[in-house]
Amino acid sequence: MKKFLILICTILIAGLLQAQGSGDEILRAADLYRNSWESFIVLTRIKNFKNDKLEDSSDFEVMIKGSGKSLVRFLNSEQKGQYLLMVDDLMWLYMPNTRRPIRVTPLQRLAGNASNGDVARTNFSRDYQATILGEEQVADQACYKLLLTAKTSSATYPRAEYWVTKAESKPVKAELYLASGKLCKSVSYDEYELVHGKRLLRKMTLIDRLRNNSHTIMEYLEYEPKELPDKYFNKNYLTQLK
Amino acid sequence: MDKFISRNPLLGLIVYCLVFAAPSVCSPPDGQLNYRIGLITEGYYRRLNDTPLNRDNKWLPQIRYGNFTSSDLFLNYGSFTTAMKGLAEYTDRDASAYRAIIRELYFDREIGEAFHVTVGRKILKWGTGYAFNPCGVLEPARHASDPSDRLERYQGKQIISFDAFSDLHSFALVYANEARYKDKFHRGKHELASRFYTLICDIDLSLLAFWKEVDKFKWGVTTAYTYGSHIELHSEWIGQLGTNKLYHRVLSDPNFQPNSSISNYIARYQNSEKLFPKLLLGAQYTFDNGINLMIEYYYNREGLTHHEWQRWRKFILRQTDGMSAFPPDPLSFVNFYSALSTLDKYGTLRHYAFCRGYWPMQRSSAEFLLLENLVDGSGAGIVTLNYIFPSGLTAWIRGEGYVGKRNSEFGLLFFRSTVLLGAKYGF
Repeated sequence: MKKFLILICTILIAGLLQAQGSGDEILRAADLYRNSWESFIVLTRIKNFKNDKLEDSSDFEVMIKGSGKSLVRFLNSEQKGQYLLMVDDLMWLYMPNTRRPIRVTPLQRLAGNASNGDVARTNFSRDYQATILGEEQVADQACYKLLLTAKTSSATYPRAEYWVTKAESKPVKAELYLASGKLCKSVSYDEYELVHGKRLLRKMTLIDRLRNNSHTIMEYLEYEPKELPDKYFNKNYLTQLK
Repeated sequence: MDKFISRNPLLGLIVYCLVFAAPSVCSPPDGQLNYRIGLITEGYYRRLNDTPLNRDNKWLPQIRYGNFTSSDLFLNYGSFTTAMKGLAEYTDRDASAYRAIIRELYFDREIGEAFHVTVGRKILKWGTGYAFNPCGVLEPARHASDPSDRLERYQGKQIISFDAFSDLHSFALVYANEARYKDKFHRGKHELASRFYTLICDIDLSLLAFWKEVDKFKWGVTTAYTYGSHIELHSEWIGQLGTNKLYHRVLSDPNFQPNSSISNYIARYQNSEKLFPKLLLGAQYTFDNGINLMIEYYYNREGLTHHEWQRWRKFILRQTDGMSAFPPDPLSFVNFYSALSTLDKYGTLRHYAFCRGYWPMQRSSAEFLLLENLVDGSGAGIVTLNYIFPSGLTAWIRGEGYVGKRNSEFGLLFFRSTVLLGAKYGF
């Protein structure tokens, strides 16, 4: 009897590990739609809407290296010269009038809708562990429904549900939750385009579930594969950038 | 250089015209032209304090209201970078004054992948503190009532800097000199500073060393750390053996009677082997809705103790009695003005606490600052409301108030409160 129970437990654990492994694999494959090169630059535009009326629009140049390093350059006139650096779980903000990089937490943000993590992070697999919850039809596409659980303290949201197509592992939609369990944002991945021979995300919409009638469109305008030097991701180098 | 510019207002005009025209006519050979232009204006009204130091506002007449307006230019083209400021100031006591300031003007160049050299005037900030910067050995002293330098008045130092960078470490060696051209060239004191930075166990760790001609050698350490999504911790420590700071003789000798044959000030600890540290400890907590709370504690061993403060205060009140007597005692005036040098606008005593609350909203933000002298309980409170218009114009209203008993540091200040209205536009 004891041997039989051990066998059942082993099978269950193995099954769980297999499901876990495949969830993470799907997540890694889905990340490739936003993170196709080891080192690249993507020009990002964030448009904030209230009652379907455009409130403001901000442009960012996002430099990404590997899975853990990103440097965001703010291009709008009122934020010109500002940088946000993210290395693994750590974040620094450089503001030109203070002339020094300061350590910030992921929750610290400037005025506006976009959270720092939304802009700086383009991959989920680094921050989240994925488990397959099941299969669902979303917009006539057969999808896996994944449960994402934060595995790093810097993850912008502690929990998320993520739908990716079974055929291509292409992200379709996501629901992002706060630590309290409250639904915070709903995301739809709207448009993809072929760039340098790779199919990449072009546009996504974030609907704010905490504030009524408020949504954000995030557009990836231009991807450029480029070898970025490591020193760009040293916080003291921010003072050398213009 | 500032003098040269202020004597040549045309030069400022030419530079501004070049900047406006440059984007349309210039095509940079390497890199791109980066520029930012800003306009700042701020008006203020102060309610004066009938302090024992300035009875009826007659010994040190204070400004009641005024206005500050400036135009700012930041320009970067290849290796060349400058930040200039043209400013106009008006007060109820002085005639309007116009000045031009070169806040930064430097050339920098990469040498290979990892090295960088900078020559010229540049603002360098090395500390991790918000309201206090004991480790900011090469930067202007920060004022806790305006840590973010909202009017952008700080100026850099003349430096030659060598920097080396890798992904996790950096090293800087800086030579600085406050050389100035004022009628003829004046060489300042030689300064040498170095910093080694590393990221270790997710802690930003910097080790500093600072040497200045005719001053004590200093060494220090700064740290910054974030814990989870909500908490940030930071610290600065800098130490030196002995200090060249001048102390009023009455602080060590309550029976001191000033006379014209000896100076009222003495470097009491010049030959001391005692450690004179400055310490800053700070923490921040950010709530889920973005509200940020920060507290900082600052200790300065060079500051006055409670007893020394009391001795100084009694001494100065004796002088003001002499000044108010009939007929006034002329020596009291001399002693009074001399003794005021003990007051340090960055903090006269040893222990201070700072608290900041910041609430960012969609287009606006609210900020609350509280600075408290922990020795006598006096302090300053500042509230600022900011609003960003869709055009990019930022407007603010700011209120400052000072509270404390009549014999406390902030209670002795010349002002009771100040209201400020300002606006800033940049493109």
